Amino acid sequence: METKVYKMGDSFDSSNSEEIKDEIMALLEEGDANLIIDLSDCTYVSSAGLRVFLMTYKAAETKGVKTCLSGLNYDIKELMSVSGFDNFFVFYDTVEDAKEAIG
Amino acid sequence: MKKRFHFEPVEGKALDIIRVLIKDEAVVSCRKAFMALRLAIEELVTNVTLYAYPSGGGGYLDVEIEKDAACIVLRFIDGGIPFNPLERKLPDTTVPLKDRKEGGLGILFVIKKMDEMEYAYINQENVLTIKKKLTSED
Repeated sequence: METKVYKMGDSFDSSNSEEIKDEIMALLEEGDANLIIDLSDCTYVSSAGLRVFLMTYKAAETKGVKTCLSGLNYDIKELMSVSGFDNFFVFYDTVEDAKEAIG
Repeated sequence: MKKRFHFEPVEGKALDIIRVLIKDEAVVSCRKAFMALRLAIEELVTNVTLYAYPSGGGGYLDVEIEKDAACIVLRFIDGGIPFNPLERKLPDTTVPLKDRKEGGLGILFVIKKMDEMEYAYINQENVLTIKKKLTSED
């Protein structure tokens, strides 16, 4: 199956989460492809971002494709862990690692 | 040194208010704690702008920021309806994501990451104080 990569900018919060949600949902809608969300340039995720991760997870499940995250920094990993997202989303250090694992 | 910001009106102004606060010198200077503080600011400011003034009228929010070598304290004061965010029901983070409802994760993170949180309703104002201890890495 094809794999698409969504590259996140430096922050994912209430100032841009609606826009990013639309972009990610469009990628999932385009066709049967797994989706890697790359956070290697991202230093900040707020609850508005978490909300979109949750929607992405549900949408991928419904479509029957895999989705995972790569390049999370320490703070974002901790946020994921406090939210209990780390038990369900798989994290990889780099996009290449993610591609190899889910591709 | 204590700094006080006054925002009025707050309706529809969350992003502007957040932008001002996360650029405050005392907040920016907390390096290791910065993301937790930024998240707390986004969460608490958004709550006030969305829910504190249900009948409209603009509303106000005052924010005090005080920092010394040991800790940073932020105090959020609004004249809206009484609301104690610490009494909010927190989400069960063991529930699989496919069965999760949205919401509550921001305040959960704030509660976990701050060292102290205190709420009071005084003279018709909600006063929420959060305190984060600083380390040598901040």
